Amino acid sequence: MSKRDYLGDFEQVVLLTVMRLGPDAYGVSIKQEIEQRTHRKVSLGAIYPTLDRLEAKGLVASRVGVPTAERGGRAKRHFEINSAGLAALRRSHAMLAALWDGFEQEVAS
Amino acid sequence: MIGKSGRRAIKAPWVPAFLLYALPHSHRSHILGDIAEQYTLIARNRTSRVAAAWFWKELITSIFANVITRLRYRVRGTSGPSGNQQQPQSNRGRNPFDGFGYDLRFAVRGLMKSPTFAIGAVVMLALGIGVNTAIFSMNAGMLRIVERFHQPDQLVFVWGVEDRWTRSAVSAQDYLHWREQADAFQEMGLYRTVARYVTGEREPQRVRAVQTSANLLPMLGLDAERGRIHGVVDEDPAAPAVVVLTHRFWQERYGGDPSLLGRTIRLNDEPYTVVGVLPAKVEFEILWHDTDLLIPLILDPTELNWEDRYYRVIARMAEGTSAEQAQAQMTAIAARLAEAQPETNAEFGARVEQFADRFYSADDRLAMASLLLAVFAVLLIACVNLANLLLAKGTARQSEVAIRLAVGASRGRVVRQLLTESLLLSFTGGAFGIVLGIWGLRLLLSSLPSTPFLPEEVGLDPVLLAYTFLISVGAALAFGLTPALLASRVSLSESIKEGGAGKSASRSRKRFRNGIMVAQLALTVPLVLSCVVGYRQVQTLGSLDFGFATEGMLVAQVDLPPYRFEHAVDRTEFYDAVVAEVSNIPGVTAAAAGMNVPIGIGHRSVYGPLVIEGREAEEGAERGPRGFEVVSPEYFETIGVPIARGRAFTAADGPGDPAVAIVNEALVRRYWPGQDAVGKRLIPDPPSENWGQQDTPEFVTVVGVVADFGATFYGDPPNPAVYMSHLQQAPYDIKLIARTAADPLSLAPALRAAVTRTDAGVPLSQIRTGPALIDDWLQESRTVAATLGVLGLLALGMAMLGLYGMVAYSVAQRTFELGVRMVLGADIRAIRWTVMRSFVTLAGAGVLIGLVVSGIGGLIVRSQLVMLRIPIFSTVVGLIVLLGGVVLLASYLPARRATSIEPVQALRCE
Repeated sequence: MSKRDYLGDFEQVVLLTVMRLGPDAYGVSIKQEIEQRTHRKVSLGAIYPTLDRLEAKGLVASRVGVPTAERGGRAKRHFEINSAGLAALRRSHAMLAALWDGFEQEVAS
Repeated sequence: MIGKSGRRAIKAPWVPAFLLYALPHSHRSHILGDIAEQYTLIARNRTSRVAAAWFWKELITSIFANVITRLRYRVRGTSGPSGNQQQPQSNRGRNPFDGFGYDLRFAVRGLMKSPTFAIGAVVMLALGIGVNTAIFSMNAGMLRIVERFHQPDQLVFVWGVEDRWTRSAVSAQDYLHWREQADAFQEMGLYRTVARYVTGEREPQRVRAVQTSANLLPMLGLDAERGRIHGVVDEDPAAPAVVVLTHRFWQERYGGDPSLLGRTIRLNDEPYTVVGVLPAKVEFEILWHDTDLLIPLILDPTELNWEDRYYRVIARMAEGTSAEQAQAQMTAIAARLAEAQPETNAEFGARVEQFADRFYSADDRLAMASLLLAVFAVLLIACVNLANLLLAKGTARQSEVAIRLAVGASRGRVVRQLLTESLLLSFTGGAFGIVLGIWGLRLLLSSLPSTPFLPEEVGLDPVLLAYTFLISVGAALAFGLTPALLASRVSLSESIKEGGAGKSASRSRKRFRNGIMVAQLALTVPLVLSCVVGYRQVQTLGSLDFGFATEGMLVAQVDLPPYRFEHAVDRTEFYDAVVAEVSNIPGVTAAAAGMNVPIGIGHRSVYGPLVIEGREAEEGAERGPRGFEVVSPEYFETIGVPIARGRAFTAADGPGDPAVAIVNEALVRRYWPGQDAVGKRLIPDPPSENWGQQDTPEFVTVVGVVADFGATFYGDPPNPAVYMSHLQQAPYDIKLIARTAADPLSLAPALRAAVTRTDAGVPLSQIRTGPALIDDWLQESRTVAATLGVLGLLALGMAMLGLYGMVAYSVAQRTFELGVRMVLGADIRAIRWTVMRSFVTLAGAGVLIGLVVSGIGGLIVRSQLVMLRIPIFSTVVGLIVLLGGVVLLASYLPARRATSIEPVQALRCE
């Protein structure tokens, strides 16, 4: 596994959320989902650079939607995980799972 | 914006453009859209106020989170596969801890660790920079006013000068001779303001018209927005009459109807063709306030004389001519005319005044300079406080600095790191300061009706940004440099050996802190004092006693079109009839007409010479202010002032009867002290155009004396006044005054109906209640007072907080020393007093310097102040008690804490 495939904590959180949300993933929904699941406050300001980085790594794709009045005439940017993203999550999970393996026994003994 | 959104569709607050630059372009629109979306949701479920608060909090945290997240990713340097491999090589030989970016990241992280300090510092700076931004913008706006005209440096007014009047109007002959003889000007035009009555389709209206010569508007560089302005062709007496409307009047009366162009409106019952509409800009407003329309000025051959001085002259100087040269030439021409026309021009001079001086006068500039000084003092106080906070932090960080020095950082490197923190603080403060400043100024302007520029005109411009940038850098240096230098001057071995925490402060540090404390008090005292004085002046104005009850009073202005009410008898009849109509309105207890309702200060409608029988020769020497008023017989009773002697006017004082007058007590005291004024005779001789009758002045007999009423400046006696009956002297405009039992404003429609019943062609305007008139009069002063109040509170609050923090901190630092003293057996009370004494001395010195400064300032300002009695002494005492109390409390509490613990513990606290 090369270094570029490694996902940081927050990157994993964001990428997993994008995956869960499917086609509905955009700034507000990602923020709400993360806050509901992790009970952690996150800022939109932090989500976007992370999404950018994920996109630069080729793990998510984004498209710009139609501007609406309730958004002050600004467009949504929708995100969607792609196969590379799913693969990266899988690798991350495998890597972490390997590390976690035997945790309970270690604690128990 | 905040809180208003409930009325319309929900709309997220407007975000100042520069705030957005903190977000990268690719994120900006989406982040804002997301925040706006949630704002809408919150505004719908909760209130728009809650939503707005959420909006700003979210926006600000997003900006910070965005910057930090991006910085973090960049530090790890894994932006892409190629970057990953290139970076180490390209960075080889460069210290990764040496860049500005590193300093900045470090500073951001450091500040995030102590958010209370960071927020406090940013708020303080934002307030300090904000008020500076506001006042600076205002000044810049004032300086830019003339730029609305074409090549404004060449534009001048050419005034007549006569006696004390330095901005006199001139006669047609003056103008024609000036234009012919002066070659310092490439162009000279003239104008005059006149009243006109717009009649036809809707209710009649008295409007303000400006007659201009055809060359005037092109000379100023002004053109029509729609249609055209009038030109030379329209000056032909045979050409149809034309009119150009101002944008405001076009909107107000005609609802911006574009089909009005080419149509005919009726002015003074004559047809005029609308040929153009002026642009909405305010250049017309600064030149001609509240003007409704422009009409051509055609010099009437019968008015081509030297006497009738109605006209005002604007000229454009020739290329390369200075105002001084133009003035010299005009002085010479005026001297020649004085010889040629001694009867009219012997005492008549000419004065050239540049547009820049006219629209931003020396007085205004002085007032602005003192405001700039005041807000600068506020910023200095903020800087002083911050310097002290940083110093305290610097002490706490001594060991960090020492370690850096020990591992080989240069002193300059350490100072740079500390300065980067200051810069970060001051630029963040500056960014918020701009928002605050612009909002504050818009708020200020919207409550000042007579400012020459619009609130919307205030915005971000390069000059303002440069100014804010400069004061931000200046502030950062002011509050950051000394603490940084002091912090870098630590003794290595000592600091590390002793484990870091500051012992008793070093001598230089102590001296610096003491200096700061004195400086802060010396700045605060004059600032707060002048704000309090200004504030209380306005307060005093608000509680003035006018000598009659203003509640339950309804006042409205009636203007009689001269072309329909040419004869005095018509005007008198109208006034009689309308007063009778008004007094019949149910709910009206009394009604009268009069030229004036004396609300305001020293307010009298008409001034002019007064001849007292038997003392005719004295007139030349006596030129005090005195008023001439025309009132209906019911006036004094309706207003509610008693006739002290003699009688009021009656219906028997008619047009054919002997002319009679009522005078006030002030006039009696002045001219007939100790005598009975009833039966005395005088000639009131005010300018005829205001008084409405052109009869040769004759003696009138005083039949009554009325008590003085109306307010004057503090210390001034009431002005002498002469009242005449409207039956004998009928002006063209008058105020209807009604006393009402019910809410006066509810009777306004009935009042309007009463006037329409009397004559449907007479315009009624400015329907106001008594308290509303006072409000109108005070509005500007109130805004000034509010501004001063905010400034004063800001300065005082900052100073008190800063002072408390500074004193408390430095006392707390001496805990160890105090412990030693206690161990050695010193008396606790003596110790406490020793600690407090030095601060009390310092505070005393600061306040004293401040008082001296305010004394000097007060002498300069006194000449300009409205002279009202202000209890300044109690203010000074109050201020000393307040500031002294802060110092005592701030030194006593920590001293008590330090001395009430076990001495051993005090020693251990190190």
